Amino acid sequence: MSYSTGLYLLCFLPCTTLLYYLIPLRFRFLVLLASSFLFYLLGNGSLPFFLLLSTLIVYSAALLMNRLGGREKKKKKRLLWGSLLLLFGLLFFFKYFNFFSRNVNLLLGRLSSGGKLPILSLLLPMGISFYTLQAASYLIDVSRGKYPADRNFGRFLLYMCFFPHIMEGPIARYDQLGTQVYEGHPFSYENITGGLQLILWGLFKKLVIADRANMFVNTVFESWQNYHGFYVLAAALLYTLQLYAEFSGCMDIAAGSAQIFGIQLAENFRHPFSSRSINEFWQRWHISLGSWLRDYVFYGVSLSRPFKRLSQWARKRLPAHLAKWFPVTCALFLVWFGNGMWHGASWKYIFYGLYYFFLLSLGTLLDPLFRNIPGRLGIGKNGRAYRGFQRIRTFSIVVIGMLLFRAASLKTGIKMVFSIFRGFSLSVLTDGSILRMGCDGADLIVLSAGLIIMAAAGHLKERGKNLRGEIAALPLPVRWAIYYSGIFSVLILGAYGTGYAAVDFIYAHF
Amino acid sequence: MLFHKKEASSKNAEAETELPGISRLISILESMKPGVDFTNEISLIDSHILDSVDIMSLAMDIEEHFHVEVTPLEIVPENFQSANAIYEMILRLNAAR
Repeated sequence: MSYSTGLYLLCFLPCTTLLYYLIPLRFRFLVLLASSFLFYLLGNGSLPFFLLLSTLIVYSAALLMNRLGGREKKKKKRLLWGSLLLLFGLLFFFKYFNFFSRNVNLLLGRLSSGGKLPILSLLLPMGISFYTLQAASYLIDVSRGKYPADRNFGRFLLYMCFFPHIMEGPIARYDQLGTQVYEGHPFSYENITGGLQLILWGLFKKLVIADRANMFVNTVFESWQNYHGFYVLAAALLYTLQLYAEFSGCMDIAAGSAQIFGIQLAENFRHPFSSRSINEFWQRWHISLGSWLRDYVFYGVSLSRPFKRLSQWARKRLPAHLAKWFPVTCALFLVWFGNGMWHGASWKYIFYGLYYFFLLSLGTLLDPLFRNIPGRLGIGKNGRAYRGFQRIRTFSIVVIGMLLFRAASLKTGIKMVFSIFRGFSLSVLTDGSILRMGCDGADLIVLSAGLIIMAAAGHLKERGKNLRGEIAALPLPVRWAIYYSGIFSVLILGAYGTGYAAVDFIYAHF
Repeated sequence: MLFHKKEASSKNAEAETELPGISRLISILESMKPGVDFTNEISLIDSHILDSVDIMSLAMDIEEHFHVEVTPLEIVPENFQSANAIYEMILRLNAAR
């Protein structure tokens, strides 16, 4: 069951909402727990056995760590690492075992004709990439003493399996979500209407923009050998916007669903295309993944004793700038390798992560050389022109990265990047060929309008406008005209029906 | 025993008086990010002046110059929004040594 289906929107969510507000306050978490299990069963086709296993491992380990206290640091550390090994072992098995087997077999095949590792028929448990990181964050926070272990298994289980975020995140932190999901929330008209508005906005982005853009994107990427120049560039650009519209749309549906129950999920996107650097982009795109990798990999590794010793070694032997750059870059490698691997068991995803690692570490290394160039050229760093240049530069880097991400393989992606520069011509915009790429004229008009609306909304939000609040303050006829426009645009302009194919949420596959 | 106590307390006093002042911190920040007014800036994180790489580099400098241990628990936005906030963190870590 997907978040954009009639089953979820017209049956599951309304029934859960009704039941939630009929039950007494202190038992309302049970409704969410039962619905989450049902959601999992409908979405995954089986009960959440491995989710339960991960939950039990982490719940028990956290309680044991609390019992050990501050005296037995070594035991605590062994318990932490043992539990993390089990947790990530499950993820590795389901997500990466076959990738690992294929590559080992390839290597063994070249070295000898010896035995092969098996390729197993495995079904990836729904949400495993998300809930594993969630569970790990809880365990590491407890081990660091950030908060005590939760003795309430029901509360912890609900934090792990809460249905709005189980499929595509955001990856929640226990101190932000744990209490919220457990304590019953009283009925609030603002929460119900606010949640529904957010869901409508998410559906608009998914069905009107993302699924429509997908038609053009698919045409090029599925037959990439037949296209070059502007077509490939346009497909890469549209895929970037498609992925943003879809993923952020899904986050809006998730956040809206949670808001209906009075629960606030963490923000996962914050106008990422206004970023002036790659660093800033990853603080605005898939925020929960970036912050997880930052807090538990980057900071965890950089502030560990071995890395501090590496840093001290570098400061004694290398020039000052290199001495700071080297250990940070080693930690960054782990972050971006992890980012790439998290997205999937494929060399193209690893390359995608290392693409950003290369750019970021090169940027940091060369920063002393390039830092003063704008000043020397008389260009104000905070001037509009320079900021515009930075945004275009960052967006271009992101689009190339997304091309690699979407391509069928790493080899294909690299070929497609080079094909942009072959026979590039803007005449395709006027000779009618652009209308034979899966989207007709009407589709392109709707898509363009949708993108403009999405960009405008993002821009206004970035400037601190509370759009939903401002719309709610408008006179009733105007307000409802806007709401009905939204509803009808999704119903009439959504990319479904004859000639369209329903598109699965991309991030649900991770 | 009194002698050892006196020796220990004078060592502690020495350690306390040896803690560099906020001016050292500001000069570290200025060498990392020239052109930023660290004396008055109060949203180093929110304004994206310092990012996670800068914070890591700064944490290593703080450990080297101020002889305190920076743990992952201290790496929260509130501790790095301004030079004053960073220095308060350093004082706290020094007191906890």
